[in-house]
Amino acid sequence: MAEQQIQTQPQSAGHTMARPQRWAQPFDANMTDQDVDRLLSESQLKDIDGEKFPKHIPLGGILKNDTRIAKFTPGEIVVREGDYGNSAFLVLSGKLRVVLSPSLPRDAIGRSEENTRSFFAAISQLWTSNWLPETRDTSKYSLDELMAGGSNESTRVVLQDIPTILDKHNTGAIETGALFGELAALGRIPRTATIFADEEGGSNESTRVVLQDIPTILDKHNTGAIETGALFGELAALGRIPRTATIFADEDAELLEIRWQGLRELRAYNGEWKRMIDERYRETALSAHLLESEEFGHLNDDQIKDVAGRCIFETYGSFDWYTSFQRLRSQGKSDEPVIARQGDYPDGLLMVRAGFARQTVKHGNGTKSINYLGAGNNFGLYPLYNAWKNPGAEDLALGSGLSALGYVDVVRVPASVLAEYVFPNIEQPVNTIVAASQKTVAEEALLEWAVDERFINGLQTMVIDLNSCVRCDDCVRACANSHDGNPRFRRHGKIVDNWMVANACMHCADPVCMIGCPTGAIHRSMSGGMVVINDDTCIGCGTCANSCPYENISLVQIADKQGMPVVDEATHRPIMKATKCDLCSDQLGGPACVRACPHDALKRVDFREFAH
Amino acid sequence: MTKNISILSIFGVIALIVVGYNAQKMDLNLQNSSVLTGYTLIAVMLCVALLNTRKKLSMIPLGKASSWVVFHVVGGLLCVALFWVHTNTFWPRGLYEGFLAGAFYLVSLSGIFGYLLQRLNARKLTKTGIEVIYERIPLELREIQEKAEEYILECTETTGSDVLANHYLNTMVWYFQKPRFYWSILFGVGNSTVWFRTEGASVKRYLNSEELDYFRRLEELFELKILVDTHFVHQNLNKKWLLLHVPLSVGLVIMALWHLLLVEVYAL
Amino acid sequence: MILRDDRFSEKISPYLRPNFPYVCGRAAAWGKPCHNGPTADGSCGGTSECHPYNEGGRWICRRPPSAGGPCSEGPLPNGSCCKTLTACQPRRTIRKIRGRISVMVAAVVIAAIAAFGFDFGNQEQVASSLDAGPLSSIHQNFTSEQGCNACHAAHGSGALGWLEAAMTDSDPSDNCTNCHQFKNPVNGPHNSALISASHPGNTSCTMCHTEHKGADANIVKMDDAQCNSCHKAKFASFATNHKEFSETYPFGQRTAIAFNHSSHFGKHFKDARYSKNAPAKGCVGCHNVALAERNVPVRGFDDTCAGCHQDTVAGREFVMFTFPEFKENPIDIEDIIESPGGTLAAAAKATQDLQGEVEKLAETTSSASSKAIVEEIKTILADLGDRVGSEEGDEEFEPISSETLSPVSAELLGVNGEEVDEYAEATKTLVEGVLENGVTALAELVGEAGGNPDTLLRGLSNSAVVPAFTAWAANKEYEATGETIEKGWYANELSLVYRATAHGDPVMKAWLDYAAENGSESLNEAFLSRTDGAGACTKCHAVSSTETDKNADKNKKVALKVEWKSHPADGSPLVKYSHKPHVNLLGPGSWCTSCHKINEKAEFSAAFDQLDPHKFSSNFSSVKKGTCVECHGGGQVSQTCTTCHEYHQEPGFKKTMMRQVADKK
Repeated sequence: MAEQQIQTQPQSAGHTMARPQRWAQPFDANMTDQDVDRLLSESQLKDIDGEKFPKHIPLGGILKNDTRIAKFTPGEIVVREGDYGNSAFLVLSGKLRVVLSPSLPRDAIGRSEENTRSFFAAISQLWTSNWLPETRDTSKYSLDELMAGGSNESTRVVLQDIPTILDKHNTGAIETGALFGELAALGRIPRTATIFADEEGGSNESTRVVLQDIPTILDKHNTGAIETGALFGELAALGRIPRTATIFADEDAELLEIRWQGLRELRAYNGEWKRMIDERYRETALSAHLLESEEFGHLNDDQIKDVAGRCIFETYGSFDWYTSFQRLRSQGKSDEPVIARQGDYPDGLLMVRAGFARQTVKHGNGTKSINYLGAGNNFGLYPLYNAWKNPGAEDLALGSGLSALGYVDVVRVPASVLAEYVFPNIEQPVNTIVAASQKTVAEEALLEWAVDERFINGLQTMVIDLNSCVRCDDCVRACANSHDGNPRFRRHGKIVDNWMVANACMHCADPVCMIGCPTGAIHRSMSGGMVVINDDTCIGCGTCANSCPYENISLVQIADKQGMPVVDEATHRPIMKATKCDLCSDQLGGPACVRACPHDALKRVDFREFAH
Repeated sequence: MTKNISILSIFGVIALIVVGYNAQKMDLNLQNSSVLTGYTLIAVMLCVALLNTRKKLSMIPLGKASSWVVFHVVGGLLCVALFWVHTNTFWPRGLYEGFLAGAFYLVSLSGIFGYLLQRLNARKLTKTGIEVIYERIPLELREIQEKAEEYILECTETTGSDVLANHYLNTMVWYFQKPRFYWSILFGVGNSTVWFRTEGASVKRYLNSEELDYFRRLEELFELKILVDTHFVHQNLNKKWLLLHVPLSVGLVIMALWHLLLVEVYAL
Repeated sequence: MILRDDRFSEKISPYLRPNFPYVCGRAAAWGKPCHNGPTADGSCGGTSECHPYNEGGRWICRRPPSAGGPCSEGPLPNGSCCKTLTACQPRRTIRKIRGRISVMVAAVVIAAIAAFGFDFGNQEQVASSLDAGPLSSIHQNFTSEQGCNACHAAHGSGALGWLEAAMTDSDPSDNCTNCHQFKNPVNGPHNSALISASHPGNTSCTMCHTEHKGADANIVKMDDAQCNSCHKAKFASFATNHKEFSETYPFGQRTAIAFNHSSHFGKHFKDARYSKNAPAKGCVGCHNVALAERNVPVRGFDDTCAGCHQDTVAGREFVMFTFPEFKENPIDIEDIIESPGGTLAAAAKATQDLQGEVEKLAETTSSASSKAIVEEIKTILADLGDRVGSEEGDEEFEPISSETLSPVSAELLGVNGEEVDEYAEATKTLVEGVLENGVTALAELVGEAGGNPDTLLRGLSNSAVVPAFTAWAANKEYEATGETIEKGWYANELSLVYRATAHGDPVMKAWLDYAAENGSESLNEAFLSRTDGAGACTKCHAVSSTETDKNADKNKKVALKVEWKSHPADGSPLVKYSHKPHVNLLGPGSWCTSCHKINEKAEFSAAFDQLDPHKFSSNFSSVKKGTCVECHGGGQVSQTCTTCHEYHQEPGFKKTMMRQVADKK
């Protein structure tokens, strides 16, 4: 076949190294067993029953390898609003403060930017990148290199002059009652999202990011301070979404930072933690979501509390939907759990909080998508309003159905609550079904297709207009030139009329590839939110490649600088690494493929807008 | 993109007018306008020629390649106009200038040809409904042929008749070996289908229903190969016209520089 | 792969690397490519489909999924792959080939330029990368010796020479003047010092004349636009933009010959007496249109004026010397006897002696008869004595001449011809000089006065001069010997005279020119009088003052010249006009009258009474622009600047160039 792979050499000639294992790259190489023992004596952890953990993932191992103890001095930033954290924090001691509103200026919180190459570094690729495929500097894989080089993030920035910050910025204020204002302000969090949007080149994310991660909301009757024993950041870590507020140390604080693999294990094998996390997850998400919604944004705190109390919180589909998706697709079946069936009578308003849902109407023998609901969209307001307005009227049933695409969080708001808080204040809502069903099947074909293929997940999907593409492969060459001579996508993929979705990472809103990565090598970049793989910590297990529903992650055999294949010293199996498009995050001027297209055929699009 | 071209061409025309006007003014003042036009021409030529360099420098932000192409197209056309303004003739007298002009026209024409070719081919390829990467075409053809032969074997085994097999060996195999009907495909003449109707299908009357079923599968493979061949033909042309355009332009630039040197040494 | 549903799976569709320089040789030959692919250096990527690895002492196939995954056969016992292939010869990608061709083309071009670029000069050479195109046929031959160097200095001057030439200005114009020459300033507009003064800055040949445009190329093309670039008055066309001609156009001055067209055509040619001599065809009777160019030459006197004026011209004479009146006899008789003409004097003396003897005889004889004879002899002797002018010793002197000295002689002698006291001495010496040396004396005199004796006194001989002077010296009128006077020099009673032999008599012209050049006012008045004598020539031949001699001081009178030949009407040197094509414009016989109309009212002859040739009025009405526009106004007749104007002044070639041409012969 015309593709070039390295000439595999006799084993003796091959460069050998130890096969990387999980925990081969610990979160913090300086964690000692003493630390672990100390942690196990901590109030939060001592109750955990180590017996429940499987042999290969002992609790001690998790603590030793997936956590680290971080000390923060007053004013030091712990998490930054908008960052993509992959770890949660347990406050071992000290007190933190969360900045609620307004957000601190970006420079004050020392927003960590992607460190892009210098111009010279960029142009040097002209001669440094070679024709030998997938060569690596194997020396950088050694442990001390990692510690020196620091595979692990976040330069620390100390907030100067805390008093002024305290009065200039509303810092999760002190007394009770004043907190309502905070919450109202937090309702306008989409500002956070716009920061994200900026980094994402203006793709409209406002409906994507939902405020979830403000632990202060957990205890409404406290100040905006985070006391010892509190756990925070877990949702950003598990939910693969950006941090929504900045938290800094109010006094000397000691935190246990748990990277999300560890957190996942704790949650999986310890009921207490699972309950704690899920509970908080529900409450946080629910209240925050209500506050963000236009229907309930105007309510005061007590009312919110009341509403939250009466709402029902539901999830559809599985957290790792991609596996079933692939399996069922291969069988030609659909895996779309029904949330609401067309024709049923609605008992409450469905507010999509996370994930994707498809709004459908029966059409012939099939169902036709008329709309695509993402986080922040509602379902069923119109019939409910009608029912409330003129009770006993005919045809109050749902005009359309709703089904989950993958993993969906839904808040079900009972009709009574609506009648009490919402309907009196609103006009007759428009019937979206009517408007949507005006469209012909042909018009909706692209959306239908995109939804079927789950491309709506993509924020930076590579789409090629075949009518203007001359198949010159300049995009691939450009990609290779920007990645040490190795392309990072394949110029083929699914086609609908003249659009081809190439096999390049789409940098999904819900990056399922990150689920199950044993080392966290694949992660959201600290800013910008593109999904990148840390080659140093990737062990080539292929989990991400298998997880990706779009076949956009490729495993490659690596070779040393001389082109000799790197093989396992024990078995002489080749060492693999997962590779994918990193959106040229470390390159000047953004994705090289887009810039290199001579005929403007290649675009990176947010498929939700593109499809409409 | 076409829009951009039309927009930029406005600037091109303006530039041309400016140069032309000044050139005429110089002529009236008994100055040598060919100095102005000549230097403008070579400057634009060099800028236009930079396109290929930019492709190699894709890793540094040099603006969108598409913008460069637009400039390349418009700039190229501008060059042709400037060339005529500069020489005041279609074909200069000098032997060397003759070669220079020849090279220039060849480059210009090949460029225009290539551009139109690509625009048209893109849609032709899309119409096929399949996508094949050029480097993989040999593999694809190979696999199609293997598939065909697989059917033949299966057919012989199941039906115990070698009619189809012989027919394949005698006639069909020729078609499946490599891309066929290059020119017919290039000019959109359906010779391949004709060939299949006459040569290929000539065997049908000797086949029973079971064999016909296999034959139909062959037919599908045949149809598929037409599409792959189509991709080969057009993508191949998309790449090969540059074999003329690029080397010639290299020569042209060198000749133009020599011409410039001569002028500087002998006349200016 | 297109046949597979999972064709996009990363497992079977690895990255394609179009940036690689090679493709599998099998694929290039439409065979099945192997999954190894070629290596970066273009060698085959591997001859076995996989390299099994050893796990727990077992060899396990490692064929990648993209190649179909582990094979059923599995590795050989020795750990090598069971599927071996023959190595292929990878092919370059189209891009790579393109790159190579580009390099080759570049090399070829450079080589060709070098090959044909560095052996030049000789004409035999068929092709040269320096060839900028064939020269115009005019210039082709001049490069045969020096080759390109004839014009291009830098040619063949080596790398440094070229570098320098490239830096500096190497306009070949300078070399044009090796052959071409023009009125100075060569590099000034219109080669005119005047214009250059007001319009500084140099012109160069290449501004208008560029070469290498082919043998038949017109390299002297100049169109109105180019003129307009300098000239303030911008020209769309002659008809619309050209200014009206000057008042007197085309005449810049009066004619050399005071031929009054209006009077001749008006009166004389109509006059019955002369009409037979009148030019039959009108203008062309006198103007030779056969030779018509910018000016139309006038035929000679004999073909034209002679018809009527022959006689009046021939026989014109002028007095060179007149024997003037004296108060007392200026000359002693003895001297005369010594003189060449002494014989007569001697005879007179003898007669006186005889008379004395006869007196004595009369006293001694008594016979009546002898007395009668003696009386007879007395009367004879007395008679004889009267005849030879024997005078009595101291009797009252009576001058035979009452004339004054002729103006010419007076001028020559530098005395006032009216006053006896002034000229007596000078004249006496002159006469004595002539008596002694004959013509030579006169020649000396003329020479001293700044004239040229050879021309002025041509044909003057002693035989004509001496007898006359002897007679005058003896205070007698000279009696020419009987034969009739023809043309040329002769003496009458009291003067020495020259009579013109025919029109254009050289002696006559010489004296007129002499008078005009060095004559005093008085002489000129007398001599160039236009009325009689020699002056009559100037009746037709204009006498003009010449502003030529710059070093004339104020009080000295301006030098004059007699215009013997008709001259063309002077016009701007930058104007060109040919009469030839314009003659007979208004049909046969119309000749010149299409443009030149006789102006009756013009006071033509008046202009000739004074000396300034530029004070004049032609007896033709001036030609107006309108006349030309009648034809040169429409579309079809050219009216560009260069139709009537030249750019260069006095274009010519240098000897060097002529020699070059000669050497070639």
